[in-house]
Amino acid sequence: MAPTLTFPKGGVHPPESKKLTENLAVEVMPLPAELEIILGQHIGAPCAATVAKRAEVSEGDLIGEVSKGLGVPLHAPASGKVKAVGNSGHPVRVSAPSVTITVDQEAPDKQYQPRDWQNDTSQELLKRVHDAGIIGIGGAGFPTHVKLKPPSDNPVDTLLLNGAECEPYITADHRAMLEMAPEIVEGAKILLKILGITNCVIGIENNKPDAIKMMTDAANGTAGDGFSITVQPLEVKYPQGSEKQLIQAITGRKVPAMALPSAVGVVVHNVSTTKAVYDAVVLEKPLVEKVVTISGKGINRPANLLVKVGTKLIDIVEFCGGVKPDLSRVVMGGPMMGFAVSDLNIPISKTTSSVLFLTDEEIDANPLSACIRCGWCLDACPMGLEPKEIGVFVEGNRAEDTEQFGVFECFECGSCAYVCPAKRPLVQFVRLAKMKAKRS
Amino acid sequence: MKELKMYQQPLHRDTGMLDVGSGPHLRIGDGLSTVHQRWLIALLPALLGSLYLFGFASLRVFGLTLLFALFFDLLAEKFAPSRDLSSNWSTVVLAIIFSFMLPVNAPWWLIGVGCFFMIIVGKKLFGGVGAYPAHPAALSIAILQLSWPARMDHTDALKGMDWQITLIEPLRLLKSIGSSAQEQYQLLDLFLGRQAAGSAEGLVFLILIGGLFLLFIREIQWQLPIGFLVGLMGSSFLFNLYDPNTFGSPLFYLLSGGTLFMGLFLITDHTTSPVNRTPMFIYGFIAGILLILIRGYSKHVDGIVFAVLLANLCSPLLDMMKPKVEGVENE
Ligand code: SF4
Ligand code: SF4
Repeated sequence: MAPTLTFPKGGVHPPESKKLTENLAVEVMPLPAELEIILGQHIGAPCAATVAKRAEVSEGDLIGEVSKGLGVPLHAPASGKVKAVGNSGHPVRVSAPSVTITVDQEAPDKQYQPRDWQNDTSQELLKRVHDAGIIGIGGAGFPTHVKLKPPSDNPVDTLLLNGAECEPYITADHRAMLEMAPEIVEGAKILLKILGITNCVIGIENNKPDAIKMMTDAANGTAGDGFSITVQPLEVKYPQGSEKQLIQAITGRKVPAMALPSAVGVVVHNVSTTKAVYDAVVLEKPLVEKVVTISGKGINRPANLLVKVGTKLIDIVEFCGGVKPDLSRVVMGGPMMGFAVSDLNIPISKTTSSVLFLTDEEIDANPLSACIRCGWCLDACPMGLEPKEIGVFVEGNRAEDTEQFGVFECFECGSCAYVCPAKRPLVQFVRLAKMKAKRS
Repeated sequence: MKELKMYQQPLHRDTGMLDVGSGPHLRIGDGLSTVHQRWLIALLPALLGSLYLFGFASLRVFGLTLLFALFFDLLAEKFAPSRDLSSNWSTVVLAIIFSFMLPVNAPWWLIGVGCFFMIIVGKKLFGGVGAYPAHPAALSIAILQLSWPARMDHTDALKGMDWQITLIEPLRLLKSIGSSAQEQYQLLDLFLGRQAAGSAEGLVFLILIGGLFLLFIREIQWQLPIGFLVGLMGSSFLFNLYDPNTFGSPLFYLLSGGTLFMGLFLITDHTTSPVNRTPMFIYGFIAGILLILIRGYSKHVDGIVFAVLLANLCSPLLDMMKPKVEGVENE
């Protein structure tokens, strides 16, 4: 096995807690009675609904479109009838415009036939990726086709596939790599063709030796196609899966501040996104479902579920046997960067990789005290910032002066707050500082 | 759909609602009290050693210090509550550190006055843990040494002890008769703590064990004690070359009095030391040089507290040396 790599600065080792779900095969969740699809799935302007109330839709039909900007279209995850075009709960924005579909349980499953993509030009492939509504599944949900069109003055030479999955609990990518390795590698080839390059490295943290093996085998199977696809084991360290950290770990290149990875000739995609690209191009299937890890000590039956986009948490809870009485917090996303939700009527979006049901014992809601100047947050920060100072400035009502400490470089990984013995909510301070500093 | 309702609002035991909060939802450790408890563990070897050596005398000093310190802390919390939930724990740590530097025969009123200055003035008036600019224990000892020098005399305190060694503080003898004083002491004796010093600061060996523990669990950063060591050894070496009659050898300085205690427990205090790594080293370095200067040229015998206080003053300045943040124009 190749030596494991990691990023140089900071990082923390939270308990992994992946045992709960890492050996559970992906289950297909039965269709719920109702789906609520949020129109703004990604950064930028939300889609405008293209269907009206009471319209009949079948799986894969277009239900939302964006006329300007970076957006991608939105598709009906299942056949049924549009019940309403209104608003849904949202983990961050509280409420967001959405389309509600009453699912027709009788409708036959849509069949997808694989097709040959080798003869498509890269423009056609790119269009298919865009039309299938693919966005970065792992993280912020940046539209994938935009990342595949790097600015022409920065030639890209390497495609990185992110299989690090450094957040505790989440095993969705892990299961995807185990169960869909050939599809992911095929997807990688499509991405390489679109970018017009041949070099691809798949980064996987070495707490997933089985995934490393599966992916290595699948990648070796493609030898001779003119592509060079290799697997690179990575040290287990949070936030290994963050774009800049991953690039530095694997290629040794440092992405400058405020720049995109393409500035150093790299494009990063998540392995699950790559699988979605495969679906879009080979099966002509839009992004309407995804693997979500349901975990935490507060749910009766942890699982890796294949769910339709728009499935509400409440339906998932019901399918997973209900919650335990000591449930305390429900988090969409990982325990480090995810968002706590206040009720269960919130739908899954394309970017939700996990839903965690955490008990009192797992979360930490201790009150904060003053900073004791221990400096541990400085050691933990992978960007080399001074979270301590940002916190002190925000508390002192001088949030707009925090730019000198690099607040805008902070990607809110939470390493600093994780180690802080004074339990200071440093990420919250940073968010506040960003808002205020932008305004001034 | 009846069951569905059951899940609709998973009730939290106390609040009846789902808990929300900003990420990260996982945190390490149990907060500040853990930090203070670790320091207590590190202080424990020397504390036990002192109890073994001096018996009731040092028990009295530790007990009285704890009582007074906690009394003043609770009093202050009553009149000016702070949001520091671990205030009592930090007071316990400060009290132990303070008592290590007291002579074993310290009268009760001296301890009381010392605790008042340490807790009320040094800690609380300046805003408590995280805010005080000077180490409260060092501050208080400095006040006592300046106000009642005779009472802070360790030689006097140990008069009755039956040790087969020179029962004068090594540094006091060095000050009065020059570097020939070194012949009166075995370095091994000094290392094992067989020397006249405060109730526990001179137990070099046990202090070292506690300090290594703190370093090992990464509670304190190595830059501080190493910087201190370099500063101390380097400057004492040079001074010794320059004026061998006044200055002792580097090892003699290192092992006598509270030198190691200062390097491992006083300058490493989180609140008063710098937060960045390079400034930490420089801070330790400065503290080491200051200690030798004070020992050589001032009338104070040991002078660790003065060196600490002076170094404390440099800390905010040193912290202005920041690592360069990518993408931010630092002028
Ligand atoms: S949240 Fe921001 S400041 Fe804190 S460790 Fe991560 S990048 Fe650094
Ligand atoms: S980790 Fe917390 S207590 Fe320590 S310096 Fe950072 S903010 Fe302050």
